[in-house]
Amino acid sequence: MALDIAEVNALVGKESALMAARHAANIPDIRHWCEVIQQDNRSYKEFEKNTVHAPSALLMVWTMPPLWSPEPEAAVGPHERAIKLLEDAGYATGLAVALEQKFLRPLKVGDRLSYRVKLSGVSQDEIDTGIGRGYQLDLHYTFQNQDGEVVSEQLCRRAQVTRVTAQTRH
Amino acid sequence: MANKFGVLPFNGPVEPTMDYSKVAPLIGVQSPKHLPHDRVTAVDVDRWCQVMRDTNPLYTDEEYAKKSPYGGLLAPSGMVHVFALGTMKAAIDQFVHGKCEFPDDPNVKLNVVVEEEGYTGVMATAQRQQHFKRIHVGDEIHWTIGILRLSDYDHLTRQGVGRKYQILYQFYNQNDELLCNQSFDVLVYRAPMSTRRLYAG
Amino acid sequence: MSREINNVYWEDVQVKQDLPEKSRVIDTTLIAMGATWATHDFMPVHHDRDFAQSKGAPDIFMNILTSNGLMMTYLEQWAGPQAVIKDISIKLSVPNFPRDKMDMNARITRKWEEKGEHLIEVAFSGDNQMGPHANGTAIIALPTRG
Repeated sequence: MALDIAEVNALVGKESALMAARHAANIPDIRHWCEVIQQDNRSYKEFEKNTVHAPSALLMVWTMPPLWSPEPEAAVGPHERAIKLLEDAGYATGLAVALEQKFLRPLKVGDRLSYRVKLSGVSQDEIDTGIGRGYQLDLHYTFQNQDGEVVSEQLCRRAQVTRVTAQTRH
Repeated sequence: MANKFGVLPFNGPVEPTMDYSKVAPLIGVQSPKHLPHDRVTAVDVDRWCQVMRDTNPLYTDEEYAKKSPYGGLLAPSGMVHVFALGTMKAAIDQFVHGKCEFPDDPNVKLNVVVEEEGYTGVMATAQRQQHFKRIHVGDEIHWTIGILRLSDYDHLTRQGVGRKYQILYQFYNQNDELLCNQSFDVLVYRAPMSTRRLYAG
Repeated sequence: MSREINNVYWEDVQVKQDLPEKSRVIDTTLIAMGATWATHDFMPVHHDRDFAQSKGAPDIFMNILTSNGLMMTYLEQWAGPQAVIKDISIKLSVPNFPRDKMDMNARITRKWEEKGEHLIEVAFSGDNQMGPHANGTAIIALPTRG
């Protein structure tokens, strides 16, 4: 199905519904991340004593979708519709290629995040995205805590390509 | 001299056997209590329920669980064993580098002996859990480990020639209440020559 | 949550009754996530194919905690949240490798009362396309209507 870029352009600027994180920022998840990424192997008792804030790098993680849920899937947001238009036109693979994160307020253990996402821009032609030929989407995320205060704003650049053609070393 | 069934015994073993003098003192002794890698948390329970596709509200619906006779969220009983498993670092140390977190535990000492005898493959083949008390989110599960028995002859299994031993785990909560007795059968084996050649690359 | 909660009552079941069959696709995600994410088991044979092959297995395979978890979930989902599994015994045979599926079945083999509890014993099995993966027995305390 050929791509009509005007259909994608019509979705630019539209914001999704507010989506909540599955769990509040919590110490066990922080401890797991520290163990894998930072090779920090302090015991859970030490984490419980010393952890007040969640690492900034984990911010988007709290709001990621679950592996499985018995609940019906949430309504498709504008950015997902844009991605679907590209997928249907043959750009089947999407990858985040850049992420700019602004941390405006600290996130405390126990805070529960929600976010909205908006498609803020899309390339008008097929380009070399750096990982293959396709289109580039700019997705703007706004994260807020349970009191409605904005905790972070993030810009995620997503390449939607026919095929990933990154060079690999052998 | 035939036994009462009329069967004649053989003179000595015809297949290789293990030196049981190294193994005998390890059998029937339970280790001291160990701490879990973490408390039982709602996030652990949620992850398990997502993988198993368990929709029991006692595990995932805090409102429902508070109103139940249990007064709060529970963890599925099968999860009791999860908290005896170590951190990722402990697992890599153990399975890749051969360095165990509790080197004096009877099962660890037994593994040293069976590995020396050439049984380098390990596989869990059976288990039984007897549950006495439910696990509450927030519990801290203490556990002990011991060996109940070790087979004294080789079995031929799909994985190769092996021996079986049976582990006993005992799980307690922070109030020293026994939650579960778990027996756990382990097969240690020599992979067949053909498989070793094929997958050694 | 508006989901219907279904309870099975002791009076309504009988010996030789079969539970409805349930199936799960066995893929790399279930095996690796079952081991690392659900059961905190980082033994590399369950998530790292190269490591599994160095140990003589053709691919990663499911750990027993996940096999036991899937069978317990199958029984509890049928019986409802008021049921309590008191005893469960499982034996494994053919491993669950990726690109397979597992059919779970159970049959009630005994029904009795003991110390104020209303119990059933079930024999269960999980079969994949290569043969029997798991077989076992469980004792479940069911709620009563009375």
